[in-house]
Amino acid sequence: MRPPAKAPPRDTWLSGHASSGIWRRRIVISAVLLLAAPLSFLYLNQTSSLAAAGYDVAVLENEKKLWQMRNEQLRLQVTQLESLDRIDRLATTKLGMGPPQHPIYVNAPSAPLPPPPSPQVKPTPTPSSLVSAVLERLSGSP
Amino acid sequence: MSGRHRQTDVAEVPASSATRRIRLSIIAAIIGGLALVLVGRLAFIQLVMHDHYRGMATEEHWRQTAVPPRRGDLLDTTGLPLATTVTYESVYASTSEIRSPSVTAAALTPIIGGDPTALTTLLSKKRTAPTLVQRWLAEDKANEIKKLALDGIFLQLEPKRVYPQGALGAQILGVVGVDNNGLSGLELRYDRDLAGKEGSVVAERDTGGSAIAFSPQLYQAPIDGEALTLTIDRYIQWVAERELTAAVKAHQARGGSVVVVEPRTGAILASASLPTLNPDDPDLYSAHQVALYGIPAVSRALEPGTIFNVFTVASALDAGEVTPQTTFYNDGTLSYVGVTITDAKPHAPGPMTVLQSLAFSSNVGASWIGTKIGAYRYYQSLSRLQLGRQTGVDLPGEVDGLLRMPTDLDWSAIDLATNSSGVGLSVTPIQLAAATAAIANDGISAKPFIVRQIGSLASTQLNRPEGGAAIRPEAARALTGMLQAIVDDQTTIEGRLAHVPGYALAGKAGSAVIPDSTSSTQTSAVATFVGFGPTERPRFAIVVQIEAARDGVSPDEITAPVFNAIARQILNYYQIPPSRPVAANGT
Repeated sequence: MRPPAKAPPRDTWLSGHASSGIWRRRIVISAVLLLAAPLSFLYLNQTSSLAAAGYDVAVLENEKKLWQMRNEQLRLQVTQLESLDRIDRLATTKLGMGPPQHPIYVNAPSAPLPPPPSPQVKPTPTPSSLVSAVLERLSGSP
Repeated sequence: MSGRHRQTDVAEVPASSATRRIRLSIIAAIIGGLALVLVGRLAFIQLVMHDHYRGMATEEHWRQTAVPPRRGDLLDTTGLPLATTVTYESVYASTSEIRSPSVTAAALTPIIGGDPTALTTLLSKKRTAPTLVQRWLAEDKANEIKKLALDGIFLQLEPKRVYPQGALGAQILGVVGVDNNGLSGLELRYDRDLAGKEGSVVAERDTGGSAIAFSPQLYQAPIDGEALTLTIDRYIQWVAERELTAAVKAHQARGGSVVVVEPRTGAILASASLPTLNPDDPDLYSAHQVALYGIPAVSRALEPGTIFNVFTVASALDAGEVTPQTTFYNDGTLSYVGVTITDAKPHAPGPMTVLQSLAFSSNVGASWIGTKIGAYRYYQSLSRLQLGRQTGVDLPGEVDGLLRMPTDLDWSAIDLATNSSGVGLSVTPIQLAAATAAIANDGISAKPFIVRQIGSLASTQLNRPEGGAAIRPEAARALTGMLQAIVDDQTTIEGRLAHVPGYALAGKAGSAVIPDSTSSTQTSAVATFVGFGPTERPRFAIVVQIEAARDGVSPDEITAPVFNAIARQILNYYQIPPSRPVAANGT
């Protein structure tokens, strides 16, 4: 008599299914973690980079304002150096100049100016003259 | 014993259990009640007060900041800036963050100057708002403060109105307050155009109050103020101020004014007055400086005196009542409606032409001419010459002056005779300049103006009204000839002191004696010169007025050299060649 087929232990059968589910779950969780970790890292990195860039932008904007301020101040300095009071002071004290007393106006000649010399440019051959030149060459005429 | 004990236990258990149950119920009821209160409160906050708290949160994170516009520049006719806005750093203190005010003050005062004790007191006052320590620091000082990195001390960018040409045209340009609003001059008159429109930025802020970069922002750009291009020529203004200052100083005068106008258009090329204000004065807003904010050329009306004879003659020539050679007998006095008018300077009685009367500044002659014209035509003519009424120049504070008309209740017949010789009325230098310019411009008067253009070249160019006929061209030319003859005559003061060799200039000096504003018993003289040139094609009309000279020199001799100096330099500046031969020695 054939011994009755030994049924697999109930718990083993169950545990086999359970373990595969657990493994599947573990694999999924691991995969999710593996994906999430770099994604989180990327996100954090992006966020911190953005914050740092924002800070840099603020610093640069402030720097821009300071350069604009310096630019305005330099323009003012240029205009102040061009002021008539300063020019007059320098002209009279340093250069020994004074206001013109008897300016002399000279009449410019009213005669018309001579025409400009004509340029010596070789005339460009026109298409018709070019054709005739080729024909002359071919025919051997001078 | 034990049984009794058990009985006792049995009896006690239900009692304690009931008590405990009651206690528990009470606690549960309290907790439940509190929970209900909390839930109720939560519901109230979340549902009823939702919008309120949401607004508070938004305000905490989102902040609106004003973006100030840049105030427009004031440019001279060639485009050079006369007033501009430059940003500087101002030092502020957040006093609640300063631990030791005395240490901070000791560190700051070597850089910004001032009294350390006063600064310590200022820094000791704990305020929530920032406290201004010093406005508009120079760049090197600002950098030194930055290096110190003091707790509670910070720098803030702030605009400052600056005047690159110093005090040039200070009263005309005007003053701007610390809040960037115009207080006087063109800064006040054109404040709306110059100020621009404030912008704003609404942005999410971090804990430090700075806008978070790349976060959504609502930005409304400010509209910068428009630049004004003036008719003022920097060089002519400078010449006018220099010559006026020299004359006032030389003759110990109280002050004076010079106005230079382009006759054809009415454009004001220069307007100088003394005393004037200094825009770089730290006490610019003090009472002493505020008293100088006005523009005397338009706001100070004085009795013109004998210079007014010019306009009386203009009126008579226009009415056709006289010619330059019309002769009358002048014995030095004229009786009119019971009042006797006399000449200020003695002369022999005899016939006098209108030209001689004008050259001699005869009161009798002017009164005779005025009465010959008649009141109606005389005052009509003065009105057309823009005398005794506002010219409408685009400067603040212009006054009418005083010129009673025959229709006025306080006018009397003698006014015609006295007004004709410049007595009993008052006019401003700008009115004299406008009337002189009309004579130079063949009798066509142009409304004086000082702003040529608002904004850039592409924007609006101001449309100027066409001038009206003040007097007939023939009358204007006849008067020009008379004024030219006076300047060309080497026997007159004008001929000796106002003539420029090689050029045909027209002009006349005059003076008035007025009650002294500083004393009720004394009088002072107002010397005035009006002139223009070159008479062939006038490019400028000049009015010089000097008040209360104290050196004893004749008033006419004070103003004529100022006219000469200004005219000479303008002729050279405009490169106008002489129309007459000039000797080698320049005469």
